[in-house]
Amino acid sequence: MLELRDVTIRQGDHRLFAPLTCRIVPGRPVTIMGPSGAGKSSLLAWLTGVLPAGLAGEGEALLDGASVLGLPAYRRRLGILFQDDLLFPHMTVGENLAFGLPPKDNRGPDRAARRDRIAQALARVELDGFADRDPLTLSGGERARVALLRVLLSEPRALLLDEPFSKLDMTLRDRFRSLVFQSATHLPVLLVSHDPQDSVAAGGDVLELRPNHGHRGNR
Amino acid sequence: MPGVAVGAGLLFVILPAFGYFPALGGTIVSLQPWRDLLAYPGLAAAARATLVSAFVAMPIALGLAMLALAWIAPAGAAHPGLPRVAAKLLSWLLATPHAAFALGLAFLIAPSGWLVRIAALVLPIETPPDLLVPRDPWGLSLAAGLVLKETPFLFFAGLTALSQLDAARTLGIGASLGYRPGIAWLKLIAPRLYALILLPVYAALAYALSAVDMALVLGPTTPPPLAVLAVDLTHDPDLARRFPAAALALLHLLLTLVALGVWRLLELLIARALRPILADGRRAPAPLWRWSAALGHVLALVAIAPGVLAVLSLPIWSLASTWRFPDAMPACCTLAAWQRALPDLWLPLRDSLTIAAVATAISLAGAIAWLQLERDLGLQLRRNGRALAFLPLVISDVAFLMGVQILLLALGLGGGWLPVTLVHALFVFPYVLLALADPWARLDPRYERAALCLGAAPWRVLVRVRLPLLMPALAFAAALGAAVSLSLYLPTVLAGGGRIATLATEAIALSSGGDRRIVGVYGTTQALIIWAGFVAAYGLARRSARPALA
Repeated sequence: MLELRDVTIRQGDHRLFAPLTCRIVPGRPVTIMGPSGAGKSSLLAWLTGVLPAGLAGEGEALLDGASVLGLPAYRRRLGILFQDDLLFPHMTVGENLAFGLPPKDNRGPDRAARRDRIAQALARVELDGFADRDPLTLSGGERARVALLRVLLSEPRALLLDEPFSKLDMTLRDRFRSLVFQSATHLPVLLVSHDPQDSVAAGGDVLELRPNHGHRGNR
Repeated sequence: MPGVAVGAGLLFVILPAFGYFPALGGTIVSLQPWRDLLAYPGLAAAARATLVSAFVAMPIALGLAMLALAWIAPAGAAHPGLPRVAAKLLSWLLATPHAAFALGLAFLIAPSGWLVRIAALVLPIETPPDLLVPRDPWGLSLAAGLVLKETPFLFFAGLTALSQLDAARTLGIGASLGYRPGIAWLKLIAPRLYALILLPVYAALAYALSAVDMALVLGPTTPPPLAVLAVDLTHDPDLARRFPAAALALLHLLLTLVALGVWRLLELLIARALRPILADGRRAPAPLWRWSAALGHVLALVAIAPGVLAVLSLPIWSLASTWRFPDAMPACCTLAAWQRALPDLWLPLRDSLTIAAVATAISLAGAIAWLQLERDLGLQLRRNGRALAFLPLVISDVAFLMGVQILLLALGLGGGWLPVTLVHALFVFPYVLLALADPWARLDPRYERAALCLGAAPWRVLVRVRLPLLMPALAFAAALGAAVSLSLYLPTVLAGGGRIATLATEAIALSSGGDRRIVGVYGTTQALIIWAGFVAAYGLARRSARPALA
């Protein structure tokens, strides 16, 4: 379970939005709605531990009862999907996925096993045989699915979604959206969006990000 | 223009290399110059020193530059502490001319040099150790000098390239997938960064193979590295020696090409060997790796320290009154060396500044015209044109400059002002173009459109709108151009026919004489003038900072 308590983002003395509290359990995604610039992306950046300099977070974030804020970014294990797929251009599709897949504890040569797992994962999202492809040759929908697989293979403890559907066209968007929610039923999912359709599809609680002073913050 | 000059220069090396050059008495094509050259006893050792120094220096410089980038770049403005200071220091080191660097390093590592003196503070050292440094026969001192000079160069090439990579976001993704920053850097940023700085890396390798000024101070002497050997032969009063000299210059060019090819091959092999590691999924570093981040920071600092010490040693020596052997610092301070040097310093100083000013003015005017005309060209033509402009930097300058010298000789011009300034402009131009191109392209085009709509003619728009708005970039380009010109050694010697003395050539010439105080004065003056140029440009840029760059 992912829990936020009185969370807000500050830029100097200015709070980007009124403090926010919510609990997110697996299978019931929470959607945070707000206009662009309301601080949605900053909220997720803060949760994952990569908030840019000049912004500061306030409040508490608990994962299964323990605060994540004291952990360095790489130990929080909060998977995140962005509007852009951000597949690494110097790796093949398979290598991108392997980058997400943690190694087995035993040090034996598990390359074949890893390759199998990646092939199976690709097959699950109808991308059989894509492992050796260059990500640049994929369509937008295919890239989005690879990015999703990469996050899921990294065995995150929760999934954060930073408007990952907004760049896809209508039909793709619906299919990818249901794929994401179906494949993450075992995880707490937090979605930020300005598209009401997203919150409907997510099916869980919807929170509105209210600007603190009727002002728009930066980003 | 630059392409034609390089082509002509090479042609006048190739012809005499095969014995044909009527003006020098060679009328038949033959392999005699090559036979003469191969009969030279030190040729193999010379080639060895050249290759060893370059191939030892390059991987180290590249590794240190990458370490410094991994340390400094992601911290950025968020960490105003040590990384920032290190980046500042590196930018000063980058601006320091090669000759001053080499002279300072020679002071530093000599048996009676600063490092031994510092060691003597804690160790019982009474007399200078019996070591053949600098100028060791394998060229390792030269390699050390090249490392110190190439590291800042590669660092800043990488820093520029890094802005294209969206490193912060990529590292963020790496972190959200569970990767420590150091590992994420190695797997996600380093491979792509290297691909972006290929050209600077090749340029650095080509420079390492042909650095005459540094080799004269730090390299072995009997025999010297190939590039120095070629230049020595051209100083021979016997004009017939120009034929084997031309053959040697051509050999050097071929060696450079082969070395670049070998480097490329090594790149491919290493990339192939490392590729599986990218995807092995390991995030938590092996115990060895755990210390690597800290070790990397220390190494990056350690790499910067000798450069700083080397440069500092010049002014300290120039002010030293007595500095007996094991003392770490001299008895302070006297202007005697400056007073002694000043009468002789004045002429080379004046000539250096004149040549630098004229060559920079030509290059600036050329670059402005180039960029203005470039707008009407197609992309492909533009790229090819740029490649031609950068040719003097990548091609072996030994071969091309020797061709220029032979040509001057054939024309009965013994070298002098005009050829030196023009050849300087050839080397200054690409740097000026490089410095101007980016700000030029980024200027918000609406300013010019607005001026045109107000009825200003195109040249008036250029002079009254574009150039004033680009003043900071112009000032920086001018400082860079002057710095390049003031640092040039080989072009001055070869195109000047030995008759033009600049600070760079004088400092190198004096270095064999052994009066460290006088050498300190020349090196300090050369570095100070170049730094002053950058400081002035920076001041100008700050004063006229306008939000015109989109």
